[in-house]
Amino acid sequence: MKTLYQWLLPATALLLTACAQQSHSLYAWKDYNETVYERLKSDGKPITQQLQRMEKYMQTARDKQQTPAPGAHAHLGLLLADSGQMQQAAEQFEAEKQLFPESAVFMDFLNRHYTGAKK
Amino acid sequence: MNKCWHKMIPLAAALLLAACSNLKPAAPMDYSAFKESDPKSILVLPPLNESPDIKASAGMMTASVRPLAEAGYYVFPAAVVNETFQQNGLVNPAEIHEVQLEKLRQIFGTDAVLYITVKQYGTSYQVVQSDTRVTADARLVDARSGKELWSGSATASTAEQQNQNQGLAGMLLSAIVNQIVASVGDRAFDIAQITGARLLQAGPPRGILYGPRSPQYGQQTAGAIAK
Repeated sequence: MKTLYQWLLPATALLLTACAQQSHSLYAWKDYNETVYERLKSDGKPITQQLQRMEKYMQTARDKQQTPAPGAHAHLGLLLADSGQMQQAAEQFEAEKQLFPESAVFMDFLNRHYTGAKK
Repeated sequence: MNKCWHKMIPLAAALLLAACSNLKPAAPMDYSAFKESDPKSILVLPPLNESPDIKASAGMMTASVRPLAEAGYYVFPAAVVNETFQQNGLVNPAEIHEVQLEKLRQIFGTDAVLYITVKQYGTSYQVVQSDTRVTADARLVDARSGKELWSGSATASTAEQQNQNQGLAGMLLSAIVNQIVASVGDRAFDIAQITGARLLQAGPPRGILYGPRSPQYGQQTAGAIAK
């Protein structure tokens, strides 16, 4: 009977670990989803407010040394391009590409499309 | 040490098992095509909407990002993707779902494409209480071969919270809802986030596989495939 308990204790610990791992986050999320939703739905808040919120999100991620969510730099780039800040937009598309090389094809496409940048 | 303490362990273990398994209904699934495809990135197309709520597509598209990213995939930015389609004259999700994979690969460079259909979205007012419910189906397809890699379905509802007899999973749901509820003041959006998490969370027995950016990448499904 004793051996059963000896086995159960590590098993319980493993289970606890397994459960705990599910809640561990790879990225900074905060209000990122809500900000994207503001842009996606037709009656979202004005662009200046969306920009402020997105820049604040990026700042908080930096302060906490968390990785921004996949797409966050590109989303900020979109808002910047939309408010005429093309150079800053291009920098954000580039940042997305650096952080997530999987996005390279799309970021190059956006750079050509929004900023007319050389490839 | 107190002997009673040892008696608690099996009970605690059983509770934990029950809690964990509650989140995922059991049924084996064939992951061979998924493993062979081994996608690094997923393009979520604007979801088809079969509900009367015009915000359903936006809400469900947003809800897909976090679970997929946390599962270890690169997820293309929802609003940027949506506007890229719009600028190319594609406004309606039904049209977008018809776009050739080759074209999608050319613009986005994606490994896989996720097609979502929103079945229910919004609040129905019933005699005793109102129920906000979001139900969605999803299908993941390899962007090169067009092969289906995975499919699933999930639902979430405010009625779950009001039901007392549903244990830990239900408590978690209430906690999540309470946490995000004031954020946009949009109850269907909040419920959609839970539907999204249930639909697209990685892990056995029916979830998507973990992607390359997850620490759990490649550690699962040795058994699932054997079945």
